[in-house]
Amino acid sequence: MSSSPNAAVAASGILKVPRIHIVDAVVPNAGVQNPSMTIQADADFEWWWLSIFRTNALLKALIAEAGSGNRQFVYSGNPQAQNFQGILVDNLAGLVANNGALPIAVPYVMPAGRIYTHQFQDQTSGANNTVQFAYHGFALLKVATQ
Amino acid sequence: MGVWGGFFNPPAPPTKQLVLPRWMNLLVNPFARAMAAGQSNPQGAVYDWGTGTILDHGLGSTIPPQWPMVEFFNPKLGALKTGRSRILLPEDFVLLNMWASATSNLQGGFRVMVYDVNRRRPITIRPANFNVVAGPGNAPLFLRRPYPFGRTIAAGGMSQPPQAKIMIVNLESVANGIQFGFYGIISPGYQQP
Repeated sequence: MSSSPNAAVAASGILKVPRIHIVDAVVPNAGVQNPSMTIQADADFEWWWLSIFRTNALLKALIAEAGSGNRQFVYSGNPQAQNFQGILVDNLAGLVANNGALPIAVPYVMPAGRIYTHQFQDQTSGANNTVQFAYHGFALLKVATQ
Repeated sequence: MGVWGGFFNPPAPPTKQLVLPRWMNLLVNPFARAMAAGQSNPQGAVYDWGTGTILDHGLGSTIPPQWPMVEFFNPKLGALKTGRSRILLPEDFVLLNMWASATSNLQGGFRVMVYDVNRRRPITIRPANFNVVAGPGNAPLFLRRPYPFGRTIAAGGMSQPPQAKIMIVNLESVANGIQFGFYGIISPGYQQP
């Protein structure tokens, strides 16, 4: 009997451990918050789903990958656009409970330790807006092969 | 068929009326019939369990997923007005789905025309009510075949990046906050299977 729980699943050398990275913030009425998400250092993260909770739909978001040229996830396709504040969060994804999580469709691997910056901007919802982004996927844990 | 042909070989019975509703059920979502669980969880059916994506197994990217978009939000598009814009796309952008929303949706929200500029091909043949081509993030319609917009071309002596021309007609009698965009990835060299 092996003493390691990885022994039976180590054929590929990678064990996909379910993992959910969370970004949350309380955005004041007409205000801005800039939380960031750091991928856990123990493994790269393979991103499969995005689900979002918010208390009011009047909320826009921008996401960028730091450390690699600040690559934007969301941007205006119109170079003349001014005062671009991002995508309404409901256009990104919904709740798992409502069967509304967005499948990324082509899983994207976020390197361990990389930082993803977020900008949440309330669109005058009239109250504090509580938002939470859940990045669902797998930690690609390297395990010893036998 | 001889004299007795009609007697011994009766004509085939008419097509059952149930066929059409069955086909219509298949149109709910292209992935709804892809997996056994699809009818109850069409978004879950985007994936082939444990093996990646059923969009195309050769599709991949080392660049984050992309949401290029246009909006008429700050300020909103005026009542019954038409707005024209374009989505300049990165090189090798591959379209996976379209999404849209409107703050007012009593008369249908807005209609949208989408046109691939570099290929000179319309994607919507006529203006389409936004909710028949795209939902918000909790209800997008994924393309069954990812669509590569390609790379920059030379047109009229100038370089022209891949782009989509967007025309939006507000159907509402009030100013409408509209967002419309693409979801996709950057995948150099991708070819449809």
